[in-house]
Order: sequence, then structure tokens, then C-alpha cells
Amino acid sequence: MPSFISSFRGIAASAAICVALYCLAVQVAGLKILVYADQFLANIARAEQVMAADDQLSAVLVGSSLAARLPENLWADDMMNVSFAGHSALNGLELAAQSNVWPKTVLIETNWLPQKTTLSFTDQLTHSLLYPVRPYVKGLQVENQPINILATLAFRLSRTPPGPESCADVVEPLDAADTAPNTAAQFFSAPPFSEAEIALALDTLAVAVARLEERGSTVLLVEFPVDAAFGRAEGPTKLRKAIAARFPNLTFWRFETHPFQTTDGQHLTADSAERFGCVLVNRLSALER
Amino acid sequence: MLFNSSIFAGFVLIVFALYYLPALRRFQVELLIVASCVFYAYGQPLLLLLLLSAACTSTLASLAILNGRRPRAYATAGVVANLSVLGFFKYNTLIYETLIADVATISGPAETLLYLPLPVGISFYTFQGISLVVDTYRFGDLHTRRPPASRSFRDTVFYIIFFPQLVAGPIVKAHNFVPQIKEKLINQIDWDLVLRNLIVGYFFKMVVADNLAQQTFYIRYPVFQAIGSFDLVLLLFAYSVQIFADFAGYSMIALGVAAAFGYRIPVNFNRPYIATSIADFWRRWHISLSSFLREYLYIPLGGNRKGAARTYLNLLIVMGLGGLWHGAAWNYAVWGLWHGVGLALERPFLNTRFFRTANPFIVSIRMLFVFAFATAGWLLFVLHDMSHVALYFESIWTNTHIAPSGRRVLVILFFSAPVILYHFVPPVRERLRPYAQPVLGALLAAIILSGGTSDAFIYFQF
Repeated sequence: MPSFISSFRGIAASAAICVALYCLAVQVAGLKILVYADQFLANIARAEQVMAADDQLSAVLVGSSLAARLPENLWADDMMNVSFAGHSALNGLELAAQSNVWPKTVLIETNWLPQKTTLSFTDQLTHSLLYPVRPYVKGLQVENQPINILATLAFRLSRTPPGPESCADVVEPLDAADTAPNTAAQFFSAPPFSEAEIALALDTLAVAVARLEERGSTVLLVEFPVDAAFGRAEGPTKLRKAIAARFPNLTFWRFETHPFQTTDGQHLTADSAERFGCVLVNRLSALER
Repeated sequence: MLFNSSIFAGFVLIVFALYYLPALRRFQVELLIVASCVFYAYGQPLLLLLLLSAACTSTLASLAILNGRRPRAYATAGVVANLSVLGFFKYNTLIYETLIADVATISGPAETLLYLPLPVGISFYTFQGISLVVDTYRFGDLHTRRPPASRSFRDTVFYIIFFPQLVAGPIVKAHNFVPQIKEKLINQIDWDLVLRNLIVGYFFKMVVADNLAQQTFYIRYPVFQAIGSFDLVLLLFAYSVQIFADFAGYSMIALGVAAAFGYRIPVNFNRPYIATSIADFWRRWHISLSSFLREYLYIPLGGNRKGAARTYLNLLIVMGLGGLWHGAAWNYAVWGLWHGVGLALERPFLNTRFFRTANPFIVSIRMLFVFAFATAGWLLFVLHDMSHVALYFESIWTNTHIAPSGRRVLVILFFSAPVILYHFVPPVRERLRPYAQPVLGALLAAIILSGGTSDAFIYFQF
């Protein structure tokens, strides 16, 4: 029978060589990841980025899967999208605070605010044996997993992704392409938020906003555009009114008059997400000026 | 305790170190019994009592068969006891809902009984209990295959609760496992077998299945209605690959861990998606379950020895019950019947030229047909409501106007490629043997670089 040493030595050496070569290639290439293989990888990569972020960020967007879909290529290097699919903006705020990230401007998507859950996926980062070395080795970071690199390369081959500078072409009020009636079927019911859920979410938000303002951050609220029928439903209407009543001094951007195209009633199509992302980037730039 | 958790890795290392200590060599079986109890109790401490009760009942029944005057009665009692445990804990809600009333209307102690948690691995350990009782009845003492025997209480309990195969198989037959129970030495371990199965198993689970799970998440109602026809078909393909990688991965890990302790448990998969008939598929997919059902149900029912009509009926009964074994819901029975009907329909043609020819074109068509047949059936595993299944197929038909997602195609093909290679490369495998270590090293690197979510194994729910 072969011994453990003789069997494992060759395997371990091959694995070490493969990992080392891959990490070297990632380090040298310095590719910015624009596309993630799936929502979960995007969530976990973003969480890792927040945990490793420094305090030089100009703006951070926190939100749910609605905000998570905005294209990565629109954000400048000092901006970060900390939105998690399946979670609420409150989760992003919590993680940013835990990681000591205090940007100049924080943009909070309000659509699924009461949907706060436990960020259990961050355990996969912190419980990993590689966690301590990941900040120093880009190739081991979740963002740089081979599939994300492959998807980004394929995305770049299919089109030249516009950067934040391309948003200059998107001028409000938007043209007809984006104000056409929404034709996507609505497969989801609007969230039936209860009064208690809304009150609890707004209490949590108030604490987070106070903490951010204390640190000098400017807080903005934004309700993402959804299908008109969806937006008029009872749950979202109650939430919208409660937010406006609770935070009268905060700027609250709403887009009911711009019914962008959605795939399912609430998530923007790729084109609409790009144009809507530009709207936000432009507004944030205008604020900075 | 999940196989893909760091706690499990630590647990196995500790048990392994103790197991081969010369001072403890005499107590190897006792050590594995204790370790198996710890492994099981980690998630469900109270249900350990049920596991031990079931194991002891089967063991006592097998001892009574060997030593008693009415072996047939004891064998029957042992089988009935195992089926009763399975029926009560797994199918109580289904039986109540089907035969009596809506479960929402009941309350009090009956409600408590109905909502008892499903014990992990109950489908597997009760089947092993049945195997123990039936094999003892058939073969006598399983150590020597000569009656009578008296030493087997410890060994037979160990056979049922041995932790690598406790919660999701492979289902090991008593007459294959019990004769292996003896003192093991560390220099007898086949490390090539152990490492190959562990690395390939974890690769299938963590890289292939867990990453594909993020894509097949969209086979959910109502999410799938917003997806285009091409992508809906592609997602079904992805689920086929995922469920194979998940379960075959689990089985390989179980085989590797068992081999590290000196035990051989059966291979559970043999490239099932290149099967050229549905019967062939069942000789390659979940082999331990299909051989269990053949040996302990199909053949006792008369198999194919009682005429054509009875053979077809037996096929439907065995596959329907086999489907229901997977889960306490009628969609699983329908899945089993789907395969039962497929087996019955192809049976008269198995001797025709179409099925006997080695023409590569015809063989490819058969393979494609069997793959499509099995893949369509998996939808019943994901969507439990038959109207949603129908709606899924309707969406494939109607959503032609929605463009395919290039990213989805790329991700699914990327993570499916290893499974496709696994199915088609084996003829060259012998030639690749000198490169086995570098290939395993590359798979280990992929686990480090590309491991997906730490999802539970699909078959844990059964």
C-alpha cells in the first residue's frame, strides 16, 4: 500500500503550484471585476470589500437586490455598492459600521428596508482558514474567483463597458426609451409590510442615520423605480409615507415618474439599471460640487 | 454535522488519531460506535435515542433469528419494526393529510406528534436495519455465514450507525459490511483510494454543486416565469449536473472516510448520464438504493418471473415506493412512477435492434433521450406542486421572447464541464494514471480558489 506521504506529496505540490500561479496572474493582471457569477458571490465579495475598505470612500450605496443589480462599472474607485441580494439596506449599514467605514455620502435604498435579516453569509468569510491572508493576496479574494474573472472577460469582449464618465450622456428628464410603459409581467406580490415591521426598521435606520451624521456623513434616501402597480401597492405606500414622516429633514429621491423597465415588476433590466445607475452617479456628483 | 464543515474535518482527524493508537486497537469498533453517536447527536441530540433504539431493535431481531425457534416470525417483526419507525417519523403528516384531514385543523398532542422533526438519515438507517434482519434470516451469521452466532450485538449496531454512511448512504448491505469488521492497521490503508475519493468528492460538492445551486435557485415558483425558454432548459440541465455532483460527491466523501478507517462501502454512481436506456440508468444512479430495492423488494415481489403483466406492475410498485422513499410528498411518488412508467415502456423494446446496436449515432440518440428523460424528472424534486411543474414546461414553450442570459450560459457550462468530462473521459483514464497526482492537485486548488456556498447536501433531507 502507498503511504500517506507518498500519495499526498505530489498532490499537495501540484495544488500549491496551481494556487501560486493563479494568485500571481491575478496580482499582475489587476483586472477590475465587473460581473459576478451569481448573487451569492456578489454578496460575499462585497462584504469582503467592505471589511477591507479604508475610510477614504466618497460615497456608499446600501440596499437590497434592487440596488445590487446596478452595474459595477459605473462606480468610481472611491465609491462602493454595499447592497446585498436577499437582504435590506440595514444589513449593509450594519456591516459598514462594524467595519468602521464612514464615507462622505451614504445613499440608502428604501424599497425593502424592513427585510433585515442576519448576514449569515459573512460567516463563510470569517470562518475560512484563508481569511487572515485574503486581504494581502488578491487571487484568494472571493471577488477574484476564476468564474468572476471569466465572466468579466466575456462581458468586456461582448461590449466595452462604459465607465462613470459615460454618465454625462444621461440627462434628466430622461428620454422616451426609459419612460415607456413597463411591459414586464409582474410575478411577485408587493411586500405586505406590517406597521410593526416598518416601525422596527425605521427605528434601526434612525440609529444608523444618527451615527453616520455624527461622523459627518451626508445621508440620502432613494426609492428605486419599480412597476407602477407594484409601487402603488399597500405595503410600499405605507413604507414610503412612514419614511417621509419619520425623516422629514433627509433628502428622499423617488422615481415614480420614471417607470424604468423591469424584468419582473421590481428588478431593473440591464439597460435600465445602467441608465438609472447613471442618474444616481450624476446626482451624487452634483451634490459633491 | 455536515461533511463540508470544518467541525467535521476536526472530528474525523481526532477519531482517526485515536482509532489507530496501538493502546486502543482492541476497542476500534467501540470507538467508532461512540464517534458515530457524537456525529449524529451533534445536530439532533434527542433523536440519537431513536437511532439507537432502531439499531438495537434490528440487532435484537437478527440475534433472535439466529438463536430463536421461529426465525421467520422474528425476521418479519424486524422488518415491520423498521418500516413502522420510518412510517411514523417520515410519513405521518402525509398519511394524516391524505387519509384523515387537513393538518392545519388539528391541535394538542396529535399536533406535537405530527410536527416531530424528521430524523436525519432515517431513510438510510432503517433500510440498513431491514438489510440486517433479512440478510441474517437468509445467510445466518454474517461473519461466518454459518449459524449460529453470538458475538454480533456490538458489530451489528456498529454496521447500522457507522457514521460515514449514516445520514445519506450509500446503503450498505449487511452481508457486505459485517464480514469486514475486524482489527485494522494504519499501514493497511489504501491512501490512493482515500485521497482520490475525498478530493474528487469535495470538488464535486464544493466547486460544482454549490456553485450551480446559485443558478438553479431560479427554478423556483414564481421566479422561473421571468426567465427565457433557452435558460429554463439550461437550468434543468444545470440541476441534473448539480444533483449528480452533490450526491456523487457525498458518496465519494463517505467512501473515502470509510476507507480511512479500513472499511469498503459500495460505489454509488457509475457515470449515470451516459446510460443508454432507463434500465441502464438505474444500474448507474444511486446504485446502492436500486440494488437494495431489487434485492429486497422487486425480487421478493416476483420480479420478472410471474409473467409480463406482473413484471410491469412490480416495476411500478418498486419505482413508486422508491420515489416515495425520497420524501414524504406525492411529487416524489410521481417522480418514481415517471421512471417506473419509463422502465415499463422501454422493456418490450430492449431486445430490438435499436437498443442492441452499437452504432455510435443510435447509441448517442439513446443516451440523449435517457438524459432528457431523467432531467425532466428532476423538476419534480425542485417543484413540489404539480401545477408549478406544468407551468414550468408552459414557460419553456411561451418565454421564447426573453433573450438568453450570456452570463448564465457561461457559468453553467463552466461548472458543468468537470461532470461532463467525468462522464466521457474514463476510457482515457488508464492512460492518465501517471498524471493522477497533478490532476488531483489541480482539483484541490480549485476547491481552494472556487469553493461555493456551504450548502447542505440535497440527500440529507431524505
